Amino acid sequence: MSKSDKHDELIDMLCLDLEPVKKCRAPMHCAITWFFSGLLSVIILSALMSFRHDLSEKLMEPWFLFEMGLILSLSFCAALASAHLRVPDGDNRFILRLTFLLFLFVVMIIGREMFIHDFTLSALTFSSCMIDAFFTGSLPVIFMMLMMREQKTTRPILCGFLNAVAAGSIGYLGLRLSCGSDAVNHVCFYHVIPYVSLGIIVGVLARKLYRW
Amino acid sequence: MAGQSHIKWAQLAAKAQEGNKAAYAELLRDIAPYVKHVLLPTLANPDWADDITQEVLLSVHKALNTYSADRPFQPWLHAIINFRKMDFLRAHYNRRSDKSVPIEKGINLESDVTKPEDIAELGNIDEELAKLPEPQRQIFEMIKIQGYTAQEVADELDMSVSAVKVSAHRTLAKLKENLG
Repeated sequence: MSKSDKHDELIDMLCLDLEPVKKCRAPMHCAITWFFSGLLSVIILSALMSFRHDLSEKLMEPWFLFEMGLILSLSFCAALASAHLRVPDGDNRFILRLTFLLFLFVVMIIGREMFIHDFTLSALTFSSCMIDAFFTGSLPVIFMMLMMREQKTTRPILCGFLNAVAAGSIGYLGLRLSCGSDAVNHVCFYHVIPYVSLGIIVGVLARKLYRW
Repeated sequence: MAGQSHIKWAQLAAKAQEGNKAAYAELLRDIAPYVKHVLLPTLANPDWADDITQEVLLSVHKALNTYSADRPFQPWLHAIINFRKMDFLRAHYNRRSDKSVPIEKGINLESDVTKPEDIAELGNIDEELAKLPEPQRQIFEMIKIQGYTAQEVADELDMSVSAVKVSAHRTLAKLKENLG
């Protein structure tokens, strides 16, 4: 059998398999749905775990509001970039660049805080924030999986990284609303590292997770 | 001319999404030589172009729902071509490095042996496999369990390579669906 005959046979079989397809939803639609469902879930979970006692005062602090705004922007941009990457040609450079700029900005702020407050890597001890991190992060991750379930990405590692940033950011926000500690050591160690670990795991498994 | 064919492909893809088999067949027959033409100059071995073209056609089939008629067809197709080419080359060179494992490293490692606690799970897979029609099950077992290549299975069963690949792909999808 010649090579062109093999292609013809494959094409005939694929044609027999063809059924009308349901087109993918628009990326913005997916990102907005994910963002608001994720945000709502972390707010509800934070309320169930009880909000931090000084939340009303914190919401008056410009720095805290700036931190929340920055994290929300990063989460939304990462979700939008992920939604674009679900399709093979969905490479939206503007959103990707914006997400990386925001991510870099957040990393720089965390680095600055760690430097100013003399961050030391203390021994890992049990903190309720470790369990809370799991809870606040789990629903956004599940929603993200639902958004990505029919993904056909051609950039699995980047897609996995963006998914982890989006879900991790919104999970971090939930922890900031429920945990009363603002100590840099505590925030970096128990609020950031769980989501960085999530990102590393997703990154390592990305090719398998996003296989199609 | 090239621009016209891409407009035509976009229209055919849009019709294929609605379930039009004639348009879909025309689209796949049109893009198959184009895909091969794009691949050939980029590969060390020209024989790989046919294998990757088949993978690209299968991928176009799987990803048809992700094409939007608002966007040009060519970038969508090229993204799939590049992705499948990289996948193929990665798998090819990984297999080649696997072959260079020194013999003194040993086989029959504990990790290669099925553990008793996993037998129940394997039983479920066996049950699902047993429900499949004979040739489909045989193809799946030869490729996914015994590790034969599609070409070897095709030679053994006197079938075409593409038919073997499609059968294995369908069986895997069916098992995934049945086993959750």
